[in-house]
Amino acid sequence: MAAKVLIIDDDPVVLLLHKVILKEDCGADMIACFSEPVKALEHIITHQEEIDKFVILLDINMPVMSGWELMDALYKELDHSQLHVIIVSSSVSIEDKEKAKTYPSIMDYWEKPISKNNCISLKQILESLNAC
Amino acid sequence: MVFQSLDSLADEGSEQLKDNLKKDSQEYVIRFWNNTNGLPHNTVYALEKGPLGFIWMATEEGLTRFDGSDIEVFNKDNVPELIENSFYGFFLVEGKGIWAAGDYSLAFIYKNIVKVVDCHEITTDSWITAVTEDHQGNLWVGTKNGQLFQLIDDKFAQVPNWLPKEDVSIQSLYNSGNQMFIGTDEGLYSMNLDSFEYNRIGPKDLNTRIIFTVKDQVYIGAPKTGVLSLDKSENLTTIIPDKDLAFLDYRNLRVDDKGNIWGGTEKGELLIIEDGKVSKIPLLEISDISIRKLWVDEDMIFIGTQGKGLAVVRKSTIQKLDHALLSKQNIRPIFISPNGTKWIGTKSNGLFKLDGEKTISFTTKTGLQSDAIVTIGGDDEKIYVGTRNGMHLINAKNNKIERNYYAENGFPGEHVNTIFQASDGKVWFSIANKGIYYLDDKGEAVKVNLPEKLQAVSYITVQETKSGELLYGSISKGLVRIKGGVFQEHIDLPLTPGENIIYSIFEDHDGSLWLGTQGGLLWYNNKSFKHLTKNNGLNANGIYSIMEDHHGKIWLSSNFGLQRIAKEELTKFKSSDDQFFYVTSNFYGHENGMSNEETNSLIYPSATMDKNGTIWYPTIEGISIADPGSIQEDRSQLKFHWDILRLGNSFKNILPGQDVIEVPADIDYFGITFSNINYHNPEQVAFYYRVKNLSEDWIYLSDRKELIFNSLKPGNYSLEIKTIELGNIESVHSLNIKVLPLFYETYTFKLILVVIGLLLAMFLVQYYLKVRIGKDLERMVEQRTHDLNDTNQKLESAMLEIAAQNETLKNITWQQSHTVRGPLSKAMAIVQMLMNYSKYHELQMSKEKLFLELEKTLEELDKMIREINKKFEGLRK
Repeated sequence: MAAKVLIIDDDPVVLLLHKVILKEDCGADMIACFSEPVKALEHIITHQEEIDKFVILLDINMPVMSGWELMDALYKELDHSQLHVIIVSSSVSIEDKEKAKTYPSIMDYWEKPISKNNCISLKQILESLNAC
Repeated sequence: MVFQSLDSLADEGSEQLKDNLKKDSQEYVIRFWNNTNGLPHNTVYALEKGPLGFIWMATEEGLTRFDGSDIEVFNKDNVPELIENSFYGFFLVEGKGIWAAGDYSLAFIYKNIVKVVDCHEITTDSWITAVTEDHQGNLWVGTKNGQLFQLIDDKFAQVPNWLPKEDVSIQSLYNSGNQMFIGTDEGLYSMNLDSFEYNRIGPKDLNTRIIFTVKDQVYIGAPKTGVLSLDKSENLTTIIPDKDLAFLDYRNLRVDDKGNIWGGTEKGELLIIEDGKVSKIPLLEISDISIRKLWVDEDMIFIGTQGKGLAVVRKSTIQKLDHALLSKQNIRPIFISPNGTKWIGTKSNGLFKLDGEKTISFTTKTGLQSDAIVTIGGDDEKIYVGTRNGMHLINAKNNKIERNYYAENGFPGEHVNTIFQASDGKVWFSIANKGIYYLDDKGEAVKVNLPEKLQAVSYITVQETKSGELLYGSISKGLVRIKGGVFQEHIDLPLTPGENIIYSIFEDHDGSLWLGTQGGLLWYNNKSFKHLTKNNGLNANGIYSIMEDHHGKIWLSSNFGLQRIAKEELTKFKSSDDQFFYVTSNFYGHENGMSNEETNSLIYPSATMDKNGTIWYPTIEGISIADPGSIQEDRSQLKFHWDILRLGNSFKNILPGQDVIEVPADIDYFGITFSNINYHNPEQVAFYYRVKNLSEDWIYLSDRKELIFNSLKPGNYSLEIKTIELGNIESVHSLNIKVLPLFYETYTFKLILVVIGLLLAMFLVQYYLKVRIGKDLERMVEQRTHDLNDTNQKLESAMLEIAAQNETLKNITWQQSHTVRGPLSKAMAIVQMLMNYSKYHELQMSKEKLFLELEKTLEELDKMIREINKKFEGLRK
């Protein structure tokens, strides 16, 4: 089974733009987009047997449930050792970046908008996941 | 009974005591010192006069020292060095002191006990019998069992060569140059002190009790043999055989300074060996009492007795008329006519005429109207006798009563108070309550015309002045002055009625008058009186007679004996303004030989002087005769010594020549005793003292010889004792007293105290300053703290503000990084989409839609930036 990218962002426009960029620039085939983190959480929990193939692109600042709250919920509900999360945030604060390091599942921290380099590294992640 | 010549009796008053004693006339006084007045024991074993003049006595209760009035006892209680209290022998070392021998010790005496030598080692089964010093100053001690020791370097050594026989006692030792005479009860020996070889002198059974010298001549006293002399060739000659010395205790043989040998017997007699002859003087007062030892001074004998203590015999100052008929009589007037015949009136036994050795008496039996004689006057030929009942004229040549003056035959009264023959030969008399009269040429009584109030008055004394006036003294009416039989003046006395009796009148050389009254002695001068009473040192207030002797003294008589006052003393009184003036004087009473101290008054004359200047006093018991010229005033005998310093319970000798004493600090009180050797007039010495630093005034000590000082503050004092003898200032003796301070009273301590005080003060000041500075500081710190708190609070609020602002800034930053960057990154993404629009096939949005989205995003961004700006403006406040 091929690796799947889950994009979680509250802004539908951004969600769309990122989906396009990932598809067009990063060669990602499997992309699921969630504008509500709770829906994303449900999805992940229901598909937790595939969790090791998911690459979750997570925004932080979201209403109702922030990216951190979602992380905490995932850590609480799942075996997070198989989880691959990349924070994609408009925040450039060091604080957020440092916090991200406290979650072993967070593989990288991307500042919006997604750059070419971000695409390259995602490609590699996806290739490695697919290779397994 | 043989009457002796009365004139010669009076004359002999100044002769030696020896002669007085020998005359068997009781012209000596004897005074005893025994266990009732200071002597610790009544048996005096030894008696010696020491170099300082004290008489020392050995008793079983201690060594005693006599200075004429006090006896000081030295025993184990007050001299801890003494080993025993019983002493039996004295051995004088001329000029140095006395060795006193006890049972087993020797004590050396000077002013006090100087040294004690323990003699236990040489007195086993024996005792010390003789002590002397040899020419080298070594002590020789002989014992009862014949041993002879020398004390060399405080150790006894047997005298070399001396080998006593068994049962021999050494009884006396006498050193002469390099020769030592050793007297034993079995022979006299002479030892050469260079070779210690000795030989016997005289018979081997010679009991040599005493060896002594008279003017370099050595004498031996040997019981059963007598007194022997020893010549240079060591030959013995008997001077007085033992049979002439019955009952003599040979141990007490003594030489006086005239070279006479004296001894005392077991019968209480004195023996005098004079020019080879023995006189025996029994002393009634110690008859049958053993004389143990004696000391003879020029006019005094000190006798140590067995059982009666010390007897001091001396010539009487005042003689008693020794007369079988008169000695015990109540004597009234005594009249001595110019030729020396004594006419003596008695109270109830008539009149006596003493003419040479003859006595003639006149009584009612022989023609007198009364045996109560009141007054006698007249001259060598005619004697007028006044009685309680009229007057008689006696022819002194044939002792016949020539005329009787009775009331019955026209005499104006009965009780004749005075009879006086004036210098012009006229006879004056006064009658009780009847005034004054004289006898005219025919012997008839003529009344003196007196003012009426002075007529019925008793005139009891009369005195003719140098100017020929007659002064009559009365009972209660004062003094009347008569000249040529004519009344001149009446002088009232400033006395109370009871005192207003003039017993005697004396005209001073300056013409002023002294009146002897019942209220003391009055001095009348320039119509004013000055008054001397008992308070001023008179013996009594009733002055019966005033007599001037030929030696510058005034004699007063009273009920309490005689009093002698120097005329200078009265001169002093005349010019003194001191109402407390104290007259210094001498008293003479029983102890000085008066037959009785109570002299008579209300008679005329009340005292009479004979042509030799001797004054005759009628007393209620015989006649007392004062010879002013014989009174010893030899002050060379006076010897003052500081004696003992008593510190609490301990005693310290004040050494001869020592003029400073130290009193330790912890002593509360101390006493200083002194002694004043005076055997002649011990009762006539008064002591005064002052402590110069405390007072300039002399304080009267009477005859007390101890001064007690209480809580004298530390410091240096000068104690002075003034001794006054016989009314004259004798001497002043001073002693410096150094009262040492306690440690807290020393200057050093005071200095330390001051320093400590200063330090303390400094410390206090510093402390105070510190406290004040501290307070200031505290206040400042408080202020500062307060300020700081304030500042702190300000800072805190500033901090809070800053924190708040910081928060705001944080929010801004956060907003920048999150909220602002949200639309920005979105815009960037949209721009990126638009730029690559052809590339993204999948994009399901038109370009227009993207631009709209972009515009919407930028508007959102703009809105955010405006909000941030708003927040900044809030921070700026």
